[in-house]
Amino acid sequence: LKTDAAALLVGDGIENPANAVTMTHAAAMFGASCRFRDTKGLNRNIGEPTSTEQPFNSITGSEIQALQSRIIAFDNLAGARDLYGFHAGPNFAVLVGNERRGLSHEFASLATDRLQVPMISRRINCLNVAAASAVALYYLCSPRVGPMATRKDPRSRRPELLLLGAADHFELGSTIRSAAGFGWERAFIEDSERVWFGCERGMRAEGRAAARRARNEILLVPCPVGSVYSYPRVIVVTHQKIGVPLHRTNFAVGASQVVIIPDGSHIDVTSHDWSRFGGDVKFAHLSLPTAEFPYHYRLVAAIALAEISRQVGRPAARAPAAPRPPIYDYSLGKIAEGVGELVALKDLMNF
Amino acid sequence: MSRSKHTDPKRIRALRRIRGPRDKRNVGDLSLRRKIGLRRKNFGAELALQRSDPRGQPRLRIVVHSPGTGFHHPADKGELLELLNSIGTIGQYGLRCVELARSPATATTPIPMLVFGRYCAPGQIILFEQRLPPWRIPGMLKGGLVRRFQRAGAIVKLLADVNATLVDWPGNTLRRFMVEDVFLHELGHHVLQHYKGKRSVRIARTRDHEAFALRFVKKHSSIVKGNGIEN
Repeated sequence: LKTDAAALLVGDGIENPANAVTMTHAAAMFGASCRFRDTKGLNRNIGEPTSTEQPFNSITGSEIQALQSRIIAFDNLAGARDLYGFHAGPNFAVLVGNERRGLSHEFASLATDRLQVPMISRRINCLNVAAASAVALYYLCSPRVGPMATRKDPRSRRPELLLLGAADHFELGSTIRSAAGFGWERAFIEDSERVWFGCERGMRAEGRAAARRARNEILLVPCPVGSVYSYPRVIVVTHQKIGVPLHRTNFAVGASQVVIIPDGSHIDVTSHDWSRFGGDVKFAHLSLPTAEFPYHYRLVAAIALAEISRQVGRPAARAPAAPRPPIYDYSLGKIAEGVGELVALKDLMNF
Repeated sequence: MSRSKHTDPKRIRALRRIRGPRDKRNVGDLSLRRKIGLRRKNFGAELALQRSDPRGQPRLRIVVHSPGTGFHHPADKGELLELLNSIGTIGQYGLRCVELARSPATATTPIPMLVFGRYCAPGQIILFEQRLPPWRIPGMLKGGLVRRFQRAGAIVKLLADVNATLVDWPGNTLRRFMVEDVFLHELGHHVLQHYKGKRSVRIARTRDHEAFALRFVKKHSSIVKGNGIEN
Protein backbone atom coordinates (compact mmCIF):
# COMPACT_ATOMS: atom_id res chain seq x y z
CA LEU A 1 0.00 0.00 0.00
CA LYS A 2 2.92 2.35 0.54
CA THR A 3 3.24 4.91 -2.18
CA ASP A 4 6.00 7.35 -3.06
CA ALA A 5 3.59 9.80 -4.57
CA ALA A 6 2.61 12.79 -2.47
CA ALA A 7 -0.88 13.00 -3.86
CA LEU A 8 -3.40 10.21 -3.72
CA LEU A 9 -6.51 9.96 -5.84
CA VAL A 10 -9.23 7.73 -4.45
CA GLY A 11 -12.31 6.65 -6.36
CA ASP A 12 -15.20 5.75 -4.09
CA GLY A 13 -17.60 3.22 -5.57
CA ILE A 14 -16.65 3.76 -9.21
CA GLU A 15 -18.76 1.50 -11.43
CA ASN A 16 -17.39 1.96 -14.93
CA PRO A 17 -13.98 0.33 -15.49
CA ALA A 18 -13.28 2.77 -18.34
CA ASN A 19 -13.68 5.64 -15.93
CA ALA A 20 -11.43 3.87 -13.42
CA VAL A 21 -8.74 3.39 -16.07
CA THR A 22 -8.96 7.04 -17.10
CA MET A 23 -8.75 8.09 -13.47
CA THR A 24 -5.58 6.03 -13.12
CA HIS A 25 -4.19 7.84 -16.15
CA ALA A 26 -5.29 11.18 -14.75
CA ALA A 27 -3.36 10.42 -11.57
CA ALA A 28 -0.35 9.44 -13.68
CA MET A 29 -0.47 12.87 -15.40
CA PHE A 30 0.33 14.46 -12.06
CA GLY A 31 2.57 11.78 -10.61
CA ALA A 32 -0.10 10.79 -8.13
CA SER A 33 -1.17 7.33 -7.16
CA CYS A 34 -4.71 6.10 -7.66
CA ARG A 35 -6.72 3.72 -5.46
CA PHE A 36 -10.31 2.59 -5.41
CA ARG A 37 -12.82 1.61 -2.82
CA ASP A 38 -14.55 -1.11 -4.73
CA THR A 39 -18.14 -1.31 -3.57
CA LYS A 40 -19.76 -1.66 -7.00
CA GLY A 41 -17.92 -4.70 -8.33
CA LEU A 42 -15.32 -2.75 -10.26
CA ASN A 43 -12.81 -5.60 -10.32
CA ARG A 44 -15.51 -8.03 -11.45
CA ASN A 45 -15.85 -6.03 -14.68
CA ILE A 46 -12.21 -6.51 -15.64
CA GLY A 47 -11.95 -8.02 -19.07
CA GLU A 48 -14.66 -5.90 -20.63
CA PRO A 49 -13.65 -4.15 -23.81
CA THR A 50 -13.14 -0.83 -22.09
CA SER A 51 -11.23 -2.20 -19.13
CA THR A 52 -7.73 -3.39 -18.49
CA GLU A 53 -6.57 -6.82 -17.45
CA GLN A 54 -4.98 -5.54 -14.27
CA PRO A 55 -7.00 -5.34 -11.06
CA PHE A 56 -7.52 -1.95 -9.52
CA ASN A 57 -5.75 -1.27 -6.24
CA SER A 58 -8.21 -0.99 -3.42
CA ILE A 59 -8.10 1.10 -0.28
CA THR A 60 -10.21 1.60 2.81
CA GLY A 61 -11.10 4.68 4.77
CA SER A 62 -8.77 3.89 7.66
CA GLU A 63 -5.90 3.30 5.24
CA ILE A 64 -6.49 6.71 3.67
CA GLN A 65 -6.37 8.29 7.10
CA ALA A 66 -3.15 6.43 7.87
CA LEU A 67 -1.54 7.59 4.61
CA GLN A 68 -2.66 11.22 4.45
CA SER A 69 -3.62 13.72 7.07
CA ARG A 70 -5.28 16.06 4.57
CA ILE A 71 -8.25 14.40 2.94
CA ILE A 72 -10.19 16.39 0.37
CA ALA A 73 -13.71 15.39 -0.61
CA PHE A 74 -14.21 16.53 -4.19
CA ASP A 75 -17.93 16.63 -4.72
CA ASN A 76 -20.69 19.20 -4.78
CA LEU A 77 -21.46 18.64 -1.12
CA ALA A 78 -23.07 21.14 1.17
CA GLY A 79 -20.57 23.76 2.29
CA ALA A 80 -17.99 22.78 -0.34
CA ARG A 81 -15.53 25.52 -1.24
CA ASP A 82 -14.38 26.40 -4.72
CA LEU A 83 -11.40 24.46 -6.02
CA TYR A 84 -9.86 27.57 -7.53
CA GLY A 85 -7.53 29.33 -5.16
CA PHE A 86 -7.41 26.49 -2.66
CA HIS A 87 -3.94 25.53 -1.42
CA ALA A 88 -3.77 21.95 -0.32
CA GLY A 89 -0.06 21.69 0.42
CA PRO A 90 2.22 18.92 -0.84
CA ASN A 91 0.52 15.87 0.66
CA PHE A 92 -3.16 15.15 0.31
CA ALA A 93 -5.72 12.61 -0.75
CA VAL A 94 -8.56 13.53 -3.10
CA LEU A 95 -11.75 11.52 -2.84
CA VAL A 96 -14.10 11.40 -5.80
CA GLY A 97 -17.38 9.56 -5.76
CA ASN A 98 -19.56 7.28 -7.79
CA GLU A 99 -20.64 8.48 -11.25
CA ARG A 100 -24.28 8.79 -10.27
CA ARG A 101 -24.39 8.99 -6.51
CA GLY A 102 -21.24 10.86 -5.64
CA LEU A 103 -19.25 10.28 -2.49
CA SER A 104 -20.59 7.92 0.12
CA HIS A 105 -21.41 9.33 3.51
CA GLU A 106 -18.64 7.26 5.05
CA PHE A 107 -15.98 8.80 2.83
CA ALA A 108 -17.44 12.27 2.95
CA SER A 109 -17.20 12.16 6.73
CA LEU A 110 -13.48 11.33 6.52
CA ALA A 111 -12.74 14.55 4.69
CA THR A 112 -10.91 17.42 6.27
CA ASP A 113 -11.81 19.73 3.38
CA ARG A 114 -14.69 19.82 0.93
CA LEU A 115 -14.08 21.20 -2.54
CA GLN A 116 -16.03 21.49 -5.73
CA VAL A 117 -15.43 22.86 -9.18
CA PRO A 118 -17.88 25.71 -9.82
CA MET A 119 -20.30 24.83 -12.59
CA ILE A 120 -22.01 27.53 -14.57
CA SER A 121 -24.71 25.50 -16.25
CA ARG A 122 -27.88 24.70 -14.38
CA ARG A 123 -28.63 21.61 -16.39
CA ILE A 124 -25.18 20.01 -16.39
CA ASN A 125 -24.08 20.31 -12.80
CA CYS A 126 -21.21 17.82 -12.72
CA LEU A 127 -18.35 16.53 -14.83
CA ASN A 128 -17.30 13.05 -15.82
CA VAL A 129 -15.58 11.54 -12.80
CA ALA A 130 -12.23 11.11 -14.57
CA ALA A 131 -12.37 14.64 -15.98
CA ALA A 132 -13.25 15.96 -12.53
CA SER A 133 -10.31 14.05 -11.04
CA ALA A 134 -7.95 15.60 -13.59
CA VAL A 135 -9.28 19.10 -12.89
CA ALA A 136 -8.94 18.56 -9.15
CA LEU A 137 -5.40 17.26 -9.39
CA TYR A 138 -4.38 20.04 -11.78
CA TYR A 139 -5.45 22.79 -9.41
CA LEU A 140 -4.15 21.03 -6.30
CA CYS A 141 -0.76 19.99 -7.74
CA SER A 142 0.03 22.67 -10.30
CA PRO A 143 0.87 26.35 -9.94
CA ARG A 144 -1.23 28.43 -7.63
CA VAL A 145 -4.02 30.39 -9.21
CA GLY A 146 -6.47 32.87 -7.80
CA PRO A 147 -10.15 32.33 -7.16
CA MET A 148 -12.76 32.44 -9.87
CA ALA A 149 -13.23 35.89 -11.36
CA THR A 150 -16.39 37.84 -10.59
CA ARG A 151 -17.68 39.91 -13.46
CA LYS A 152 -20.75 41.90 -14.28
CA ASP A 153 -21.21 40.25 -17.66
CA PRO A 154 -19.09 37.09 -17.96
CA ARG A 155 -20.78 36.05 -21.20
CA SER A 156 -19.13 38.93 -23.02
CA ARG A 157 -15.73 37.57 -21.98
CA ARG A 158 -16.26 33.98 -23.03
CA PRO A 159 -14.15 32.90 -26.02
CA GLU A 160 -15.38 30.69 -28.82
CA LEU A 161 -14.49 27.03 -28.52
CA LEU A 162 -13.37 24.70 -31.27
CA LEU A 163 -12.88 21.01 -30.57
CA LEU A 164 -10.53 19.75 -33.22
CA GLY A 165 -10.15 16.22 -34.52
CA ALA A 166 -11.24 14.14 -31.56
CA ALA A 167 -10.46 10.50 -32.25
CA ASP A 168 -12.79 8.89 -29.74
CA HIS A 169 -16.51 9.48 -29.35
CA PHE A 170 -16.45 8.90 -25.57
CA GLU A 171 -13.69 11.43 -25.15
CA LEU A 172 -15.43 13.97 -27.34
CA GLY A 173 -18.79 13.40 -25.66
CA SER A 174 -17.29 13.85 -22.24
CA THR A 175 -15.55 17.03 -23.42
CA ILE A 176 -18.84 18.40 -24.75
CA ARG A 177 -20.39 17.65 -21.38
CA SER A 178 -17.60 19.58 -19.66
CA ALA A 179 -18.00 22.52 -22.05
CA ALA A 180 -21.71 22.74 -21.32
CA GLY A 181 -21.11 22.43 -17.59
CA PHE A 182 -18.56 25.23 -17.68
CA GLY A 183 -21.05 27.52 -19.36
CA TRP A 184 -20.50 27.35 -23.11
CA GLU A 185 -23.69 27.75 -25.08
CA ARG A 186 -22.13 26.69 -28.35
CA ALA A 187 -19.03 24.92 -29.56
CA PHE A 188 -17.55 24.31 -33.01
CA ILE A 189 -16.54 20.78 -33.86
CA GLU A 190 -14.17 19.90 -36.66
CA ASP A 191 -14.92 16.21 -36.80
CA SER A 192 -12.11 14.97 -39.01
CA GLU A 193 -12.27 11.44 -37.55
CA ARG A 194 -16.07 11.22 -38.00
CA VAL A 195 -16.82 10.21 -34.44
CA TRP A 196 -19.68 12.65 -33.88
CA PHE A 197 -21.41 13.66 -37.10
CA GLY A 198 -22.31 10.96 -39.59
CA CYS A 199 -20.95 8.09 -37.53
CA GLU A 200 -22.58 4.73 -37.07
CA ARG A 201 -25.55 4.40 -34.76
CA GLY A 202 -23.88 2.67 -31.81
CA MET A 203 -21.04 5.15 -31.72
CA ARG A 204 -23.49 8.01 -32.03
CA ALA A 205 -25.59 6.76 -29.08
CA GLU A 206 -22.54 6.22 -26.87
CA GLY A 207 -21.11 9.62 -27.71
CA ARG A 208 -24.41 11.38 -27.00
CA ALA A 209 -24.76 9.49 -23.72
CA ALA A 210 -21.27 10.59 -22.66
CA ALA A 211 -22.23 14.17 -23.51
CA ARG A 212 -25.46 13.85 -21.48
CA ARG A 213 -27.17 15.13 -24.59
CA ALA A 214 -30.64 14.55 -23.11
CA ARG A 215 -30.20 17.55 -20.87
CA ASN A 216 -27.19 19.17 -22.45
CA GLU A 217 -28.39 22.20 -24.41
CA ILE A 218 -25.08 23.21 -25.92
CA LEU A 219 -25.29 24.04 -29.62
CA LEU A 220 -22.76 22.02 -31.60
CA VAL A 221 -21.75 23.60 -34.89
CA PRO A 222 -20.13 21.20 -37.38
CA CYS A 223 -17.21 22.76 -39.22
CA PRO A 224 -15.93 21.38 -42.53
CA VAL A 225 -12.46 19.91 -42.26
CA GLY A 226 -9.78 22.33 -43.41
CA SER A 227 -12.01 25.42 -43.38
CA VAL A 228 -10.38 28.82 -43.21
CA TYR A 229 -11.34 31.26 -40.42
CA SER A 230 -10.37 34.81 -39.65
CA TYR A 231 -10.39 35.10 -35.87
CA PRO A 232 -8.22 38.00 -34.63
CA ARG A 233 -6.87 35.86 -31.80
CA VAL A 234 -6.36 32.12 -31.76
CA ILE A 235 -5.15 30.10 -28.80
CA VAL A 236 -4.25 26.45 -29.17
CA VAL A 237 -4.28 24.48 -25.93
CA THR A 238 -1.95 21.51 -25.78
CA HIS A 239 -0.32 19.22 -23.27
CA GLN A 240 3.08 19.66 -24.92
CA LYS A 241 5.33 22.35 -23.51
CA ILE A 242 4.75 24.90 -26.23
CA GLY A 243 3.92 28.52 -25.57
CA VAL A 244 2.94 29.88 -22.20
CA PRO A 245 1.39 28.00 -19.28
CA LEU A 246 -2.37 27.81 -19.26
CA HIS A 247 -2.87 29.99 -16.21
CA ARG A 248 -0.75 32.78 -17.69
CA THR A 249 -2.78 32.99 -20.85
CA ASN A 250 -5.57 35.53 -21.05
CA PHE A 251 -8.67 33.68 -22.13
CA ALA A 252 -11.23 36.23 -20.99
CA VAL A 253 -11.17 38.35 -24.13
CA GLY A 254 -14.53 37.52 -25.61
CA ALA A 255 -15.91 36.06 -28.79
CA SER A 256 -13.17 37.61 -30.90
CA GLN A 257 -10.89 34.89 -29.58
CA VAL A 258 -11.15 31.22 -30.44
CA VAL A 259 -9.72 28.53 -28.21
CA ILE A 260 -8.81 25.38 -30.10
CA ILE A 261 -8.40 22.14 -28.23
CA PRO A 262 -6.87 19.59 -30.62
CA ASP A 263 -6.75 15.89 -29.88
CA GLY A 264 -3.07 15.45 -29.07
CA SER A 265 -3.20 11.70 -29.53
CA HIS A 266 -2.97 12.04 -33.30
CA ILE A 267 -2.59 15.75 -34.10
CA ASP A 268 0.95 17.05 -34.04
CA VAL A 269 0.56 20.54 -32.70
CA THR A 270 3.96 21.68 -33.91
CA SER A 271 3.46 20.75 -37.54
CA HIS A 272 -0.25 21.51 -37.94
CA ASP A 273 -1.22 24.54 -40.03
CA TRP A 274 -2.85 26.90 -37.52
CA SER A 275 -2.75 29.96 -39.72
CA ARG A 276 -6.06 28.98 -41.30
CA PHE A 277 -7.87 29.87 -38.07
CA GLY A 278 -6.73 33.47 -37.87
CA GLY A 279 -3.88 35.88 -37.66
CA ASP A 280 -2.49 35.88 -34.15
CA VAL A 281 -1.93 32.25 -33.13
CA LYS A 282 -0.63 31.53 -29.63
CA PHE A 283 -0.09 28.33 -27.74
CA ALA A 284 -0.94 27.54 -24.18
CA HIS A 285 0.17 24.39 -22.44
CA LEU A 286 -0.85 22.53 -19.33
CA SER A 287 1.70 22.73 -16.54
CA LEU A 288 2.16 19.04 -15.84
CA PRO A 289 4.89 17.55 -13.65
CA THR A 290 5.40 14.59 -15.98
CA ALA A 291 5.96 14.52 -19.72
CA GLU A 292 5.02 10.91 -20.41
CA PHE A 293 1.52 9.74 -19.57
CA PRO A 294 -1.39 8.03 -21.34
CA TYR A 295 -3.17 10.79 -23.24
CA HIS A 296 -6.90 11.34 -22.87
CA TYR A 297 -8.59 14.12 -24.79
CA ARG A 298 -11.28 14.64 -22.17
CA LEU A 299 -8.74 15.19 -19.37
CA VAL A 300 -6.73 17.82 -21.21
CA ALA A 301 -9.89 19.50 -22.48
CA ALA A 302 -11.56 19.51 -19.06
CA ILE A 303 -8.52 21.17 -17.49
CA ALA A 304 -8.38 23.78 -20.26
CA LEU A 305 -12.10 24.48 -20.02
CA ALA A 306 -11.92 24.76 -16.24
CA GLU A 307 -9.13 27.33 -16.49
CA ILE A 308 -11.00 29.34 -19.14
CA SER A 309 -14.12 29.20 -16.98
CA ARG A 310 -12.12 30.43 -13.98
CA GLN A 311 -10.85 33.41 -15.95
CA VAL A 312 -14.17 34.20 -17.59
CA GLY A 313 -15.74 34.15 -14.15
CA ARG A 314 -19.28 34.36 -12.99
CA PRO A 315 -21.61 37.12 -11.90
CA ALA A 316 -21.45 38.24 -8.30
CA ALA A 317 -23.78 36.33 -6.05
CA ARG A 318 -26.86 38.35 -5.38
CA ALA A 319 -27.47 39.25 -1.80
CA PRO A 320 -30.78 37.88 -0.63
CA ALA A 321 -33.41 40.55 -0.76
CA ALA A 322 -34.25 41.93 2.64
CA PRO A 323 -37.85 41.49 3.68
CA ARG A 324 -40.00 44.52 2.96
CA PRO A 325 -40.55 46.63 6.05
CA PRO A 326 -44.14 46.32 7.23
CA ILE A 327 -46.75 48.78 6.03
CA TYR A 328 -50.06 49.32 7.82
CA ASP A 329 -52.90 51.06 6.02
CA TYR A 330 -55.82 52.82 7.61
CA SER A 331 -58.46 52.42 4.98
CA LEU A 332 -62.05 51.44 4.60
CA GLY A 333 -61.02 48.30 2.83
CA LYS A 334 -63.81 46.26 1.39
CA ILE A 335 -66.85 48.42 1.84
CA ALA A 336 -69.38 47.13 -0.60
CA GLU A 337 -71.69 44.67 0.98
CA GLY A 338 -74.30 42.76 -0.91
CA VAL A 339 -77.42 44.66 -1.82
CA GLY A 340 -80.03 43.80 0.74
CA GLU A 341 -83.62 44.68 1.30
CA LEU A 342 -84.80 46.61 4.32
CA VAL A 343 -87.58 44.68 6.01
CA ALA A 344 -89.60 45.83 8.97
CA LEU A 345 -89.60 43.53 11.96
CA LYS A 346 -93.37 43.33 11.88
CA ASP A 347 -93.38 42.18 8.27
CA LEU A 348 -90.73 39.64 9.09
CA MET A 349 -92.75 38.21 11.96
CA ASN A 350 -95.80 37.88 9.74
CA PHE A 351 -93.84 36.12 7.02
CA MET B 1 -35.11 45.68 40.66
CA SER B 2 -31.96 46.66 38.85
CA ARG B 3 -32.36 49.24 36.17
CA SER B 4 -30.20 50.15 33.23
CA LYS B 5 -30.62 52.35 30.22
CA HIS B 6 -31.84 49.33 28.40
CA THR B 7 -34.72 48.79 30.84
CA ASP B 8 -35.73 52.42 31.10
CA PRO B 9 -39.42 53.08 30.93
CA LYS B 10 -40.43 54.07 27.42
CA ARG B 11 -41.08 57.64 28.33
CA ILE B 12 -37.66 58.25 29.89
CA ARG B 13 -35.88 56.40 27.12
CA ALA B 14 -37.68 58.39 24.44
CA LEU B 15 -36.81 61.68 26.07
CA ARG B 16 -33.16 60.71 26.46
CA ARG B 17 -32.79 59.54 22.91
CA ILE B 18 -34.51 62.55 21.42
CA ARG B 19 -32.15 64.80 23.32
CA GLY B 20 -29.03 62.93 22.26
CA PRO B 21 -29.72 60.46 19.51
CA ARG B 22 -26.00 59.75 18.99
CA ASP B 23 -25.03 59.54 22.62
CA LYS B 24 -23.26 56.43 23.82
CA ARG B 25 -24.73 54.24 26.49
CA ASN B 26 -22.34 55.48 29.14
CA VAL B 27 -23.28 59.15 28.76
CA GLY B 28 -24.85 60.51 31.92
CA ASP B 29 -24.86 58.98 35.32
CA LEU B 30 -28.11 57.12 35.53
CA SER B 31 -28.24 56.86 39.31
CA LEU B 32 -27.54 60.57 39.70
CA ARG B 33 -30.18 61.39 37.13
CA ARG B 34 -32.71 59.29 38.99
CA LYS B 35 -31.77 60.93 42.27
CA ILE B 36 -32.24 64.39 40.83
CA GLY B 37 -35.46 63.35 39.20
CA LEU B 38 -36.77 62.06 42.50
CA ARG B 39 -35.89 65.33 44.26
CA ARG B 40 -37.59 67.33 41.54
CA LYS B 41 -40.64 65.17 41.90
CA ASN B 42 -40.66 65.76 45.64
CA PHE B 43 -40.41 69.49 45.09
CA GLY B 44 -43.31 69.28 42.61
CA ALA B 45 -41.33 70.20 39.53
CA GLU B 46 -42.57 68.85 36.23
CA LEU B 47 -40.52 66.59 34.07
CA ALA B 48 -38.84 68.68 31.41
CA LEU B 49 -40.55 67.29 28.39
CA GLN B 50 -40.47 70.48 26.36
CA ARG B 51 -36.91 71.52 27.01
CA SER B 52 -35.76 74.21 24.64
CA ASP B 53 -32.38 72.62 24.10
CA PRO B 54 -31.34 73.02 20.47
CA ARG B 55 -30.22 69.40 20.45
CA GLY B 56 -33.56 68.45 21.91
CA GLN B 57 -35.51 69.51 18.85
CA PRO B 58 -37.17 66.49 17.33
CA ARG B 59 -35.65 65.56 14.06
CA LEU B 60 -38.99 65.20 12.45
CA ARG B 61 -39.83 66.30 8.94
CA ILE B 62 -43.36 67.13 8.04
CA VAL B 63 -43.70 67.12 4.28
CA VAL B 64 -46.79 68.56 2.67
CA HIS B 65 -47.57 67.67 -0.94
CA SER B 66 -50.14 69.82 -2.64
CA PRO B 67 -53.45 68.00 -3.01
CA GLY B 68 -55.03 67.18 -6.34
CA THR B 69 -58.06 68.90 -7.83
CA GLY B 70 -61.14 68.19 -5.74
CA PHE B 71 -59.05 66.98 -2.81
CA HIS B 72 -57.66 68.62 0.28
CA HIS B 73 -55.60 67.85 3.35
CA PRO B 74 -58.03 68.09 6.26
CA ALA B 75 -55.25 68.43 8.85
CA ASP B 76 -52.35 70.82 8.51
CA LYS B 77 -48.81 70.78 9.77
CA GLY B 78 -49.45 72.83 12.90
CA GLU B 79 -52.21 70.55 14.11
CA LEU B 80 -50.07 67.49 13.68
CA LEU B 81 -47.22 69.10 15.63
CA GLU B 82 -49.63 70.14 18.34
CA LEU B 83 -50.90 66.61 18.67
CA LEU B 84 -47.38 65.23 18.76
CA ASN B 85 -46.47 67.65 21.52
CA SER B 86 -49.53 66.71 23.50
CA ILE B 87 -48.71 63.00 23.19
CA GLY B 88 -45.16 63.63 24.36
CA THR B 89 -41.85 62.11 23.52
CA ILE B 90 -43.22 58.61 23.38
CA GLY B 91 -44.77 59.41 20.04
CA GLN B 92 -41.95 61.56 18.75
CA TYR B 93 -39.11 59.19 19.43
CA GLY B 94 -38.02 57.49 16.25
CA LEU B 95 -40.58 59.27 14.11
CA ARG B 96 -38.71 60.42 11.05
CA CYS B 97 -41.29 61.83 8.73
CA VAL B 98 -44.95 62.71 8.52
CA GLU B 99 -46.18 63.21 4.98
CA LEU B 100 -49.37 64.78 3.79
CA ALA B 101 -49.48 63.02 0.48
CA ARG B 102 -51.65 62.46 -2.52
CA SER B 103 -53.94 59.47 -2.55
CA PRO B 104 -52.34 56.22 -3.56
CA ALA B 105 -53.77 55.08 -6.88
CA THR B 106 -53.02 51.42 -6.63
CA ALA B 107 -54.82 48.37 -7.77
CA THR B 108 -55.78 47.52 -4.21
CA THR B 109 -57.39 50.89 -3.62
CA PRO B 110 -59.44 51.69 -6.69
CA ILE B 111 -61.26 54.47 -4.91
CA PRO B 112 -58.57 56.93 -3.82
CA MET B 113 -60.36 58.48 -0.88
CA LEU B 114 -60.81 55.22 0.95
CA VAL B 115 -57.26 55.22 2.27
CA PHE B 116 -56.76 57.66 5.11
CA GLY B 117 -53.32 56.93 6.45
CA ARG B 118 -50.39 54.58 6.27
CA TYR B 119 -47.53 53.65 8.55
CA CYS B 120 -44.33 52.57 6.79
CA ALA B 121 -41.79 51.11 9.17
CA PRO B 122 -39.50 52.50 10.34
CA GLY B 123 -40.83 55.87 11.34
CA GLN B 124 -42.84 57.19 8.42
CA ILE B 125 -46.48 58.20 8.67
CA ILE B 126 -48.42 59.21 5.59
CA LEU B 127 -51.76 60.97 5.77
CA PHE B 128 -53.50 60.98 2.42
CA GLU B 129 -55.51 63.75 0.85
CA GLN B 130 -59.28 63.41 1.03
CA ARG B 131 -62.13 64.43 -1.20
CA LEU B 132 -64.09 67.48 -0.28
CA PRO B 133 -67.20 66.35 1.61
CA PRO B 134 -69.85 65.09 1.19
CA TRP B 135 -68.66 61.71 0.02
CA ARG B 136 -70.72 59.28 -1.95
CA ILE B 137 -69.19 55.88 -1.40
CA PRO B 138 -70.26 52.98 -3.60
CA GLY B 139 -71.59 50.10 -1.51
CA MET B 140 -72.99 49.92 1.96
CA LEU B 141 -70.63 50.71 4.80
CA LYS B 142 -70.40 48.11 7.50
CA GLY B 143 -71.79 48.85 10.93
CA GLY B 144 -68.43 49.24 12.63
CA LEU B 145 -67.25 51.78 10.11
CA VAL B 146 -70.49 53.70 10.28
CA ARG B 147 -70.20 53.92 14.05
CA ARG B 148 -66.57 55.04 13.78
CA PHE B 149 -67.50 57.81 11.36
CA GLN B 150 -70.44 58.85 13.48
CA ARG B 151 -68.26 58.99 16.60
CA ALA B 152 -66.00 61.40 14.74
CA GLY B 153 -69.02 63.57 13.94
CA ALA B 154 -69.89 62.46 10.43
CA ILE B 155 -73.44 62.16 9.16
CA VAL B 156 -73.80 58.79 7.49
CA LYS B 157 -76.74 57.86 5.29
CA LEU B 158 -77.08 54.38 3.86
CA LEU B 159 -78.77 54.57 0.49
CA ALA B 160 -80.00 51.01 0.17
CA ASP B 161 -81.95 51.53 -3.03
CA VAL B 162 -78.88 52.69 -4.97
CA ASN B 163 -76.44 50.60 -2.93
CA ALA B 164 -74.35 53.53 -1.80
CA THR B 165 -73.40 55.42 1.35
CA LEU B 166 -73.47 59.15 1.76
CA VAL B 167 -71.00 60.54 4.30
CA ASP B 168 -71.02 64.21 5.17
CA TRP B 169 -68.45 65.88 7.41
CA PRO B 170 -69.89 69.05 8.87
CA GLY B 171 -67.56 71.71 10.24
CA ASN B 172 -64.14 70.50 11.26
CA THR B 173 -65.20 66.94 11.94
CA LEU B 174 -63.11 65.51 9.10
CA ARG B 175 -60.06 67.32 10.46
CA ARG B 176 -60.72 65.89 13.91
CA PHE B 177 -61.15 62.44 12.43
CA MET B 178 -57.89 62.68 10.53
CA VAL B 179 -55.93 63.95 13.52
CA GLU B 180 -57.47 62.18 16.47
CA ASP B 181 -58.32 58.93 14.84
CA VAL B 182 -56.16 58.34 11.76
CA PHE B 183 -52.96 60.06 12.88
CA LEU B 184 -53.16 58.65 16.39
CA HIS B 185 -53.81 55.21 14.95
CA GLU B 186 -50.68 55.40 12.79
CA LEU B 187 -48.74 56.74 15.73
CA GLY B 188 -49.86 53.67 17.66
CA HIS B 189 -48.39 51.47 14.95
CA HIS B 190 -45.16 53.46 15.18
CA VAL B 191 -44.91 53.19 18.95
CA LEU B 192 -45.34 49.44 18.91
CA GLN B 193 -42.98 48.97 16.00
CA HIS B 194 -40.29 51.28 17.31
CA TYR B 195 -40.11 50.11 20.89
CA LYS B 196 -39.66 46.50 19.91
CA GLY B 197 -36.21 47.32 18.62
CA LYS B 198 -36.58 45.31 15.42
CA ARG B 199 -37.78 48.32 13.57
CA SER B 200 -37.77 47.15 10.00
CA VAL B 201 -39.28 43.72 10.45
CA ARG B 202 -42.77 42.57 11.25
CA ILE B 203 -42.81 42.31 15.03
CA ALA B 204 -46.44 41.34 15.52
CA ARG B 205 -49.30 39.82 13.60
CA THR B 206 -51.20 42.44 11.63
CA ARG B 207 -54.21 41.73 13.80
CA ASP B 208 -52.24 42.40 17.00
CA HIS B 209 -50.62 45.48 15.46
CA GLU B 210 -54.02 46.90 14.59
CA ALA B 211 -55.37 46.04 18.03
CA PHE B 212 -52.49 47.88 19.69
CA ALA B 213 -53.07 50.89 17.45
CA LEU B 214 -56.74 50.94 18.40
CA ARG B 215 -55.87 50.74 22.11
CA PHE B 216 -53.36 53.54 21.61
CA VAL B 217 -56.07 55.72 20.06
CA LYS B 218 -58.45 54.99 22.95
CA LYS B 219 -55.79 55.70 25.54
CA HIS B 220 -54.55 58.95 24.06
CA SER B 221 -57.68 60.46 22.59
CA SER B 222 -58.67 61.74 26.03
CA ILE B 223 -55.28 63.42 26.42
CA VAL B 224 -55.66 65.01 23.02
CA LYS B 225 -59.12 66.31 23.80
CA GLY B 226 -57.87 67.56 27.17
CA ASN B 227 -55.21 69.62 25.41
CA GLY B 228 -57.80 71.44 23.31
CA ILE B 229 -57.04 69.81 19.99
CA GLU B 230 -60.68 69.19 19.35
CA ASN B 231 -61.53 72.87 18.98
